Amino acid sequence: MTLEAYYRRLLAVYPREHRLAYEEEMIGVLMAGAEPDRRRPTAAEAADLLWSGLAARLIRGGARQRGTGWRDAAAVVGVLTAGLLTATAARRLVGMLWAVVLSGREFPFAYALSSELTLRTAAWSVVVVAALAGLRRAAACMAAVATAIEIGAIIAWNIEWRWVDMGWLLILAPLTVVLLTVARPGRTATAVLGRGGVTLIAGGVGLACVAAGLFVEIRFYEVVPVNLANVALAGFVIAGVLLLAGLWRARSQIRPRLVVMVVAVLAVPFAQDRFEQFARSQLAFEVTWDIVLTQVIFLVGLPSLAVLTVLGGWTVARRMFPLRVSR
Amino acid sequence: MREPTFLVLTSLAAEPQHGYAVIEDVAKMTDGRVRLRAGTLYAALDRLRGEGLIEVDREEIVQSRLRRYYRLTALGETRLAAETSRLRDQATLAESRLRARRRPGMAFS
Repeated sequence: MTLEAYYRRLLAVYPREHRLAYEEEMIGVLMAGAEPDRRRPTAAEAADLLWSGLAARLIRGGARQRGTGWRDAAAVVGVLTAGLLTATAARRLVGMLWAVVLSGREFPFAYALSSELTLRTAAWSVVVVAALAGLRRAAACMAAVATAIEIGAIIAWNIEWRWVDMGWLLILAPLTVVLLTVARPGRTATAVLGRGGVTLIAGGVGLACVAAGLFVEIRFYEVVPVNLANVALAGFVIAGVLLLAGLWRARSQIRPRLVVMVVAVLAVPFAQDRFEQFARSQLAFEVTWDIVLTQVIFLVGLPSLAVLTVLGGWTVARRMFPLRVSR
Repeated sequence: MREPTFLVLTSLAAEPQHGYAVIEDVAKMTDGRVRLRAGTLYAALDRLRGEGLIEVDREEIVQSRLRRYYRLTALGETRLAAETSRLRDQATLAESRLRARRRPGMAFS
């Protein structure tokens, strides 16, 4: 390999636009600086080019992300996760009240007020309302408070298994704080998706919540009514369609980012469900470090895998069907 | 403003230069203390172009290699002048304090 070829190989570290703009020029400079009998780049040269190339990638990457919609997408997905957390707490609250009513005890209202579920529902509702109203900072702060309430509730229960059961909330709640913190100020979900889009997503979350409630109910029946399971499944499918339809309202530039983030977020409860199936099949009686570690692998691994799959699929699709003319 | 940036601007202040000439010029200006590497130089050139402090003057092909000449813009001139004056102020301040140190007894006053 010639010295020039070595240099070109090193310059491949630079982002494409940088190479288009400067590669020939830099080769000229590098060759001019090399002694006539040099066969390979020096270690210092290689290190300098690798370092500068990676830095250029980082800087360009950052500049390219600015205003490209990641932060718009975060505004939307932050509201979505807050909505999911509201719906989750609300569903449990309704379930509990239903049980109280069925048991024939009086004062279900007093039960509701004394329940940690009411507090959690209220806290996340405030987050949703604040975020939709464009009070990004207030929403982020309130999300932090709601996260603290979630953790406090788990501690108050003082049952080890609670931590495992609530594992997915322990990921989604702080994630909501992060999303709402990085969301672009003054950019609400309504601004990104339009009123119709937000309504569709709210409908999707609500429906998914009802469907999840049905699935929980099924567990209490000795003989599972087949219809109920099918109805719940149909509910999930329709909820998914509503969610997609809502997200589709975003500008085409933001859409892929939204899809990646939503996939990551929705993969968390899915991973929790898969983990619970797995844990149940293991007939574990006490919480061990193995269980915790396995849960972490599930909850972090599956969403990461989902994101990588979507990003990879996207890249392959773009390579195969290059719609945009490259500059 | 970091030193390589300052030196690159200073180098272009006299006349438009191509990349390798800037490296040589900077080495000469600093008596060989600073020898810019290609990666560092082009990081600076790319940023300075982006900030509008320098621009492309002309391009030449010499021995089948591309040479691009850069020149200082009006904005670059202003910025370099401001930085020079800041450095001069700092140097003057440091000098006066060092003078004060050398005067016996002054250090405790």
